Amino acid sequence: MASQRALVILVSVLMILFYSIFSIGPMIYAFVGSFANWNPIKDTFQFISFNNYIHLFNNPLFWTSLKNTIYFVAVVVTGRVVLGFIIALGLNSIRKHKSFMRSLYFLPVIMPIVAVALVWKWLYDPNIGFFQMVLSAFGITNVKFLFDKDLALPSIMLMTIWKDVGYAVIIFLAGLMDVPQSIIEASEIDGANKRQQLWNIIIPTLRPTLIFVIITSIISYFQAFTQIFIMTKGGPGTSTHVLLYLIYREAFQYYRFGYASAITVCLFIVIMIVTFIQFKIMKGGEV
Amino acid sequence: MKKVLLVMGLVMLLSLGLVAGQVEEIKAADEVEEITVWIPGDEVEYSFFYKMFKEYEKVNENVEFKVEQQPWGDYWTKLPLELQSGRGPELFMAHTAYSDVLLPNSKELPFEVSELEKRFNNPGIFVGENGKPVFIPVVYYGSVMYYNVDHWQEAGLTEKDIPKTWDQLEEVAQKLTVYDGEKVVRAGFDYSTWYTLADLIYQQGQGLVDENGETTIDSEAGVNVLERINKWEDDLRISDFTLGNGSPEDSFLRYQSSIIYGHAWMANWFAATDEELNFEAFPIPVWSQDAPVITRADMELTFGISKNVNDKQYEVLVDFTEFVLNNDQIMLDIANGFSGVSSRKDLVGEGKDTSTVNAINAQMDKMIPMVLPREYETVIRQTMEEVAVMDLSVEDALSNAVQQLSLSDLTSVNYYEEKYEHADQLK
Repeated sequence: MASQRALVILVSVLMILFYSIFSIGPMIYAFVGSFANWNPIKDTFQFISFNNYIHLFNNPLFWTSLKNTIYFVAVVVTGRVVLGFIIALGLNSIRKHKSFMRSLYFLPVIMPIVAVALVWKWLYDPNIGFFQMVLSAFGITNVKFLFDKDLALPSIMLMTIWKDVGYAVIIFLAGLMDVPQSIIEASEIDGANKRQQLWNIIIPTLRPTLIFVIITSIISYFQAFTQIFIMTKGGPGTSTHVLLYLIYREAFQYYRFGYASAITVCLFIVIMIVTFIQFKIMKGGEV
Repeated sequence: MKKVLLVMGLVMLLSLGLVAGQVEEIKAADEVEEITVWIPGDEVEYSFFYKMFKEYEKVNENVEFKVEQQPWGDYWTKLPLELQSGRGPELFMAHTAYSDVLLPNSKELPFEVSELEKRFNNPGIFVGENGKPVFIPVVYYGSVMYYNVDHWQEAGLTEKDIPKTWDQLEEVAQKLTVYDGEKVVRAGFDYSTWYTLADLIYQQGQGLVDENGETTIDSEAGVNVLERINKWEDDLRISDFTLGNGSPEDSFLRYQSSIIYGHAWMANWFAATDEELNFEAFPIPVWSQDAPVITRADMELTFGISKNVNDKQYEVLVDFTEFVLNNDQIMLDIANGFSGVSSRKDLVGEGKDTSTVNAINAQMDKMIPMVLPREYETVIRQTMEEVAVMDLSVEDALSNAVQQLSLSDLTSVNYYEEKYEHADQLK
């Protein structure tokens, strides 16, 4: 009993130490750094009060990046959840080749995002890309995809949905297996059609799964970076800048760690608010 | 007897001590000094750098370079962070664009700038806190124009048509551009590098910062360049920014452009990448004949010595740097490798006789040695994209640029502009 208690204490201490050193410590350091003119390469760290925040809120690029981030999250999460749910429903209803189809949809998820982004960058190329070739066959020419300020971000969103939808499909399929068959059969006897079954049995049963996929997707897409870095580097102009790309640029290209930390704090607050609202919804509380 | 044994014992101990000491000395003499070197490219790309290490090892058997190749993209982020945290290589390839973050993490060389000036051009451009050089330029080079000779001949152009002004270039580019309906499929001229905007501002006699270190990108000169870019894209339709998208060399290698705003280093790369690409170079055209600057002078530097090396390593690396600077063949190999002009005064004009080197030589006296802060480069590129691709008005694009540069310290640009030979002609 005593040895078990010692083991619990040891594991707890190790976990606390791990999170303190690798998570909480750097978070506190970044928060403090957000009030400083901080350049680790030149070894400068001077407190400048709220100057980083003042400059940030007056910088149109920050607001553009925030707007783009929210736009990206809203579209990609919706696309992933809706499409994932529809595909899962379809796969759940087929009897043959279920495993093969499941693997097929999951395949892009296990591919490295860097490789996928590079391939899609070529697909989108306005001169030699596959999509342009297909569109040309229908007489549509000169679509610039990643070079068009209105199409660049949606093009990246489409790629992201394609890559990540398989994850939602697998989670939803697992959830669909938990829907009691007896209730479905009982509803059939009572005369419920497929649509009524979907809205009144399947979706309410899948509610925790849905919320899980939505929350993890939102947190993950607020941190989208790699595909933007590979495909557009924030361009054309600044039209595909998202907050994480802005943080990367400020910290690792310009070495303005203080300013980058201020953006990070803002991103942290945004994610925290969104997550809080979702938890409220999940618990069925008032928002 | 006891005394005899005691004396014998002492003699034996002393002898052992002496032998041990000699062994240590022999070991020290045989000890190989291993130097870790970081370089962002392979032996094919930087054969001249790899060769210089081998040459030094040949004459210094107790030195061994352990060359570690790092990918270019990561290199410039990883290197300063590693050096700053006390790790990283002992010796590393430096770059002018990252000199601001590499200088504080590198050791100064024990040479006097005034002494070096007798043999080298601009050796004191990167000095440390004590006024001693940290990196010494080994080659000067910069932007040149490349043209596809086959396209040129197909369009009925000859060497006489090589443009000297931008107006002339526009005329030639119109003959070279190929369309598919409304679309430009082969640009007569691909200007899509940030060099274009920076150089063309200089060509109008406008410095890139004012006396307070504030950007002048929104000056009349900046407006003129962006309006000209609009003319190339929309009126004359000789260019399409998206073909090169910041790297005209890519469109050139894909045969999608006939003239590009290029850089001297590309000459060897083009030749190595596509043997069938028939190209030549010519100097950058000018805004007007009395332009005080034609283009910026870039440079390649001696390898940097980490601030973390010990005394023995420092001694070896200083000796290595001297070896490189004094070796004619190595210096010429480096100059030829970048298609540039050696920084050593006695080697100027001794390099390869190619159109690229000749173009550099022709514009050399009006090339301003300049190291732009990275954020300035990024913002220039974004501004060009906003005008050429996003169809933003020149006024809005420049207003964005000024806003984005408001946090940046651009005073280093003043430093380089003031050192320029024709600085008095710059606004």
